[in-house]
Amino acid sequence: MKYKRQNNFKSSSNIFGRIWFSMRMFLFNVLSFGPLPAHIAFIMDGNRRYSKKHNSKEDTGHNAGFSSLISTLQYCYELGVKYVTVYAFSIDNFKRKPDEVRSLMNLLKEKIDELLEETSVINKYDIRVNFWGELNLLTEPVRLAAKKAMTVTGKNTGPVLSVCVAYTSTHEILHAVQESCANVNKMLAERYSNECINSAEGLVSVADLEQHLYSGSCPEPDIVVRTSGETRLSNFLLWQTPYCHLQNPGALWPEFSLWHLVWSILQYQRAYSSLQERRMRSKKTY
Amino acid sequence: MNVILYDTKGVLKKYMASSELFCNARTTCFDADRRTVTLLLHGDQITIELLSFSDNKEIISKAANFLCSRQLKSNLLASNKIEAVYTDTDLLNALKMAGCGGLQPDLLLVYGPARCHLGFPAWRLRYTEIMYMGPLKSMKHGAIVKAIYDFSNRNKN
Repeated sequence: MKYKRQNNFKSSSNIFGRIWFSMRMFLFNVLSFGPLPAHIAFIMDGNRRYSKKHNSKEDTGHNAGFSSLISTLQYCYELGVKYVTVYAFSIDNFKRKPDEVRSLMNLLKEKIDELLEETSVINKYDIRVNFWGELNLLTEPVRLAAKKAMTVTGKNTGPVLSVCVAYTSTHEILHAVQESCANVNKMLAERYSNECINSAEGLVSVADLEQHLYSGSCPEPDIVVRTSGETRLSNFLLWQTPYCHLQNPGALWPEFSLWHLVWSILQYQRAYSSLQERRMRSKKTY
Repeated sequence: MNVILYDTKGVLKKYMASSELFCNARTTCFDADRRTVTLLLHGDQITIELLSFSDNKEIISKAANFLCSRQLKSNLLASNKIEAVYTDTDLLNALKMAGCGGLQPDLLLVYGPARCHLGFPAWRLRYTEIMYMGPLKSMKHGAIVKAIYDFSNRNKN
C-alpha cells in the first residue's frame, strides 16, 4: 500500500519536481515486484562526524540529519513502508557534555514543533507519531512537545513514525518487566496466598512482557539500518530483532539518500526467503 | 578467554557432552548445568558457554517471575504494600539466577545465510560488534583471524 502519491505529484511545485517524483514512483514500482519491508528501523549515526567532515559546528550535522530523516521518511512512505522507527537519543547520550545535551534538547523541541506544522511530512501522509523511551528524563519543553505530538497525531490512520528518545533496549525490557510485575501484583492483591507466591512459574510470560514493551503495538522490524558503517546495535530494539536484517552502510546519516534506501531494500529482498524460513521455524518451535 | 557458541535450536548444548573435545577429564571442567565448560588448551584456559534461543526471551521472563515472586513475598510480610522499582542491577542479578547473566561479548561473528543475530540473548548484545561472516560451510580459520584483527584495529582507532 502506498501513501498519498497523487497529492505528492500535484504538490511538486515545478516540472523537475514532477519528473523526479515520477522517476521515484517508477523505481518503487519495480522494487515492489519483490517483498517489501513493513517496518524499517534506523540508527541515525554520523551527524557529528558529518559536521567535522565539513568543518562546521555540530548543529550543522544535526540539522542535516533532520533533513535526511524527512526525505527518508517520505521515500519510505511512498514505497509503502507502514512503520518507521528511528533512534534519536539514547539514555547513554545524557553522559555527553552538558552544553551538547542542552543543544540537542533544544534541537529536539524545535524539530518536534516543525513536524507538527501544517506543511510537514506528518500532515502530508497522515502519520501517527510515537515517542518511545523514558520521557521523564527529557527536559520539560521537550517532554511536553513529545506528548503534544502524540496527542495531535494519535487519531491519524496513515503510517507510523516511532521516535526513540531517552531510550535503550535494556531500559525498555526493564520497563516491561516492571509493568508486568505491577499487573501481577494488582491481580493477586486480593487473591494471593502462600501457594501462589511459592510458585514463581507462570506469573509473567513472554507474551506479557511483549505487551508491555514500548513497541507493543508495532510489528517487529524487518530491517535495521545503522549508518556510518558501525556494526553495533548500541542497545536498540534488541528484543524485537531476532530475524531482522541488520545493515550497516558506510554513509553518514546526513548522506543517506534514496539510493542507499533502494540498495537496502534490494539487500533485504535477497535475504528475505532465508529470514522468513527461520522466522516460521521459530514460531513452530516456540 | 571467554567464548560463546550460539545456535537457535540448542543442538550444541545437546551434543556437547559427547564431543571428543570436551571428554578429556584432565583438561575439561563442566559447570553444574553442563552449559559452560572450561578447557585447557595448549596451556591457555578457555571458557566456552553454549547458548540457544531459549536463553533469550524465556530467561528474561524467568528473571521477571523471580523478581515478581520476591516482591509478592515481601508484600506479604510487610504491613504496607510497596510497588517495587527495579533497576538494571536487579534484573541482571535475576538473570544470573535464571542462568544467563554472563559477560557481554565484544565481538559476535554471525554465520548463516543473512546478517541477523537470530535471537542472541538481548541483555548481552547491547554494545557487541556484529560481523557477518557468510554461510557456516564457508567458515575458515583465516577469516576468523581477519575479523578479530579488524575488530582490534577498529578499537585502537
